[in-house]
Amino acid sequence: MSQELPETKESKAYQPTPEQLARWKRLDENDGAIAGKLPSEEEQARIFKEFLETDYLTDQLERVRAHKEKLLKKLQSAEEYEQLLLEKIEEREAKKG
Amino acid sequence: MNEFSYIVGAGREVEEGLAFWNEKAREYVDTYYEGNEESARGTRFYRGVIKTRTITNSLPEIEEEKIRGVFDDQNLLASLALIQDTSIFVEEELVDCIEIESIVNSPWNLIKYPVPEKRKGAGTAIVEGIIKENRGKGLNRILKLFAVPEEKIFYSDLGFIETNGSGEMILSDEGASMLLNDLDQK
Repeated sequence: MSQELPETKESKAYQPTPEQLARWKRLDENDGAIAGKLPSEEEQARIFKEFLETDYLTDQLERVRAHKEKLLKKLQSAEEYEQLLLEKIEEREAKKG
Repeated sequence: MNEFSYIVGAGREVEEGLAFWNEKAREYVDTYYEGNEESARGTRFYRGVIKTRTITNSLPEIEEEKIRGVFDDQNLLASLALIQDTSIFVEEELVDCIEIESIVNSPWNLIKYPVPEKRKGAGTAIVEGIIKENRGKGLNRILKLFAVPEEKIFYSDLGFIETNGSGEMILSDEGASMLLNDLDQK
């Protein structure tokens, strides 16, 4: 049976290496994280101007409505296909009967 | 060290968070960049606005399961990421990998000025959250992302290694373990 050593202040204290300290300092200084590709400078300028000139909430509302419209069309298409399949199955059953 | 809570998926809190980012970014442009594009150009804040805008422009179409975020002690969205499962070749072998398509911190965590909302560590916290989520599922997948030149040092300090000079960087399973260990000690 193993016996745990009592924890002392000395055993808890961790001394980071100079490299770790330097890295942590850089991480704090550079922690403005952005990842992923960015568009061309010309496109960036256009997007930034669009950001300044567009009302965010109205713009998002238009986008979400356009997306909702697409989804409703997809749903309608799926429902029509579902109905067609139900009719075909019904026809087949009727022929069997 | 600041504390952040990690979330998976979108929802009202993320949508409200992004609307607040937009509001604050507009405020910062007026306060710190004379209200125009030219004054902000080339800054990390500017790149963050571009990245955020490209995400919000397609927000309604983004699948919820791709979204990850961290919230700070003010309950503000501090960083957002879009991830997806993919595969990459490592030493001629195809291995499973998580591609971080985008990460962007909140405008107050990107602007160089000392604004009261700023909470350092959000970028590190979101990468840490993605690693821990992955490991929580019993998976040790490699992380992959693209870093623009100005951001490479940050990802390099997290343990990411550049693959081919294009800006693509990967964090190996071993690198991820070292990062978690390092953050425990910090």
